[in-house]
Amino acid sequence: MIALIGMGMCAAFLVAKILLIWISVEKSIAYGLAGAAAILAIVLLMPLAFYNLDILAGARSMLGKSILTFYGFLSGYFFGSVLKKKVAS
Amino acid sequence: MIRKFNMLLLTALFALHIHSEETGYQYENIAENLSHPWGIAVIDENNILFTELTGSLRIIEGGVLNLKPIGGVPDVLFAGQGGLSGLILDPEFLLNQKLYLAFSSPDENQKKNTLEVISAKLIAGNLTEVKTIFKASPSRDTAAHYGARMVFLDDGTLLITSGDGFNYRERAQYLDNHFGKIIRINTDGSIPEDNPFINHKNAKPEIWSYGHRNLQGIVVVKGVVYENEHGPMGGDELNIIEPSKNYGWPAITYGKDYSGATISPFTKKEGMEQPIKYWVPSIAPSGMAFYDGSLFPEWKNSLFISALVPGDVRRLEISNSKVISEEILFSDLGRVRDIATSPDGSLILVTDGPKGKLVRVVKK
Repeated sequence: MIALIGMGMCAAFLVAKILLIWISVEKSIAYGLAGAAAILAIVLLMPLAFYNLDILAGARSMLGKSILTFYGFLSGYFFGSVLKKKVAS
Repeated sequence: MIRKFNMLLLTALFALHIHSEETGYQYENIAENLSHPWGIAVIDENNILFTELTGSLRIIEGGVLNLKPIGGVPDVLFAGQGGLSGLILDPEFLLNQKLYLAFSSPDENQKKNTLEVISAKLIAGNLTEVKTIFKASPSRDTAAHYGARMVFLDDGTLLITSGDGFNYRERAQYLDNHFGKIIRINTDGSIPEDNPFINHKNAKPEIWSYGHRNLQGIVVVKGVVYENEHGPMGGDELNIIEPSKNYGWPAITYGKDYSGATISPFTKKEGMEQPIKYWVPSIAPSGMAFYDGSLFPEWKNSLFISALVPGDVRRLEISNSKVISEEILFSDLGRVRDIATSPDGSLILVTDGPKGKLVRVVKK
């Protein structure tokens, strides 16, 4: 599970790095997309790690995976917004 | 000073006395270095059959492990929790050499798999007359929660536990599939005419009870069917099973999901059965045996449940369908996968893992 979360974080860092350095995009959006990438990586890799089992029951359907990914985006967006405010102050 | 020493000595002797009373048994290794041993069937005190999840059916003959596995065992899917699992002898085994095996079997295209039960005759170290008598439907993508334990009812019909396949939990509440069910069939694979849902439209006629999760132990004691099953995180259950009853999973549960999420806010609901005991946190119950031997009179009429987490055996005393006491035994063996009683009154334990053991518990 820790390895899985680690892979999710790797995906998030990669997305954030690409968006923030190579493409001009608002910081909160970049963190949002990074959060979405992390969750998407976790829910897609999870069955491969656990004998086709979706340990997070909410991720068993495509709809569930999409909703979780969306919440990943919201979490990242919130983080980016807070960070932006702190830097500004 | 001498008085202090005497007191210490007395205390030590008293502690030793209590310890020897508490552990009035000892272990004898029957076989070791076994590859994920799972199910056990005792022919007599010196002849024991057992399955290895990796796909072998093995035999202890005259108290010694035969190094050659039994031949003729069908191919099994050894993955996740799947493999060669449940084993039971026909009630007339000594006359007909018939036995039954439950295992995860891959579909033809190897993409899906399901729980399968076969009957076969054990003749000269080989299975013959192998016949599939049950295949759970539909097949699953996952390699978990098969159930795969069996027991005979007094009328000669066979009960088979069929798990919810992990990803298919909601289907345990529907009768159009075999996920999370107890199945009742005749030993030739036909369906008994008095099965509770045989005349139900859209119901699988083999279903005897439903609303189960991962059923790992089942025994019949004086006509009463006891079944244990894994909850998720917490909520392992011991149930008394009656035909047509709904045991609630996942609509009611005392457990939480592995992520910590609530599976259901309900623990009770009308029309759904309550366990006679549940465990929070989980003990991961596995095999189950009723002890009516005479070697350990203090254990007579107890229900023994082997457990995987942290690894021990629970001795339960049951009166009027209620568990009145629970004692933890054999907690120094690690994960215990199955338990059986031997005609000589000893208990036989199966320890889990790639270097599993068969251990006999005898009087000290």
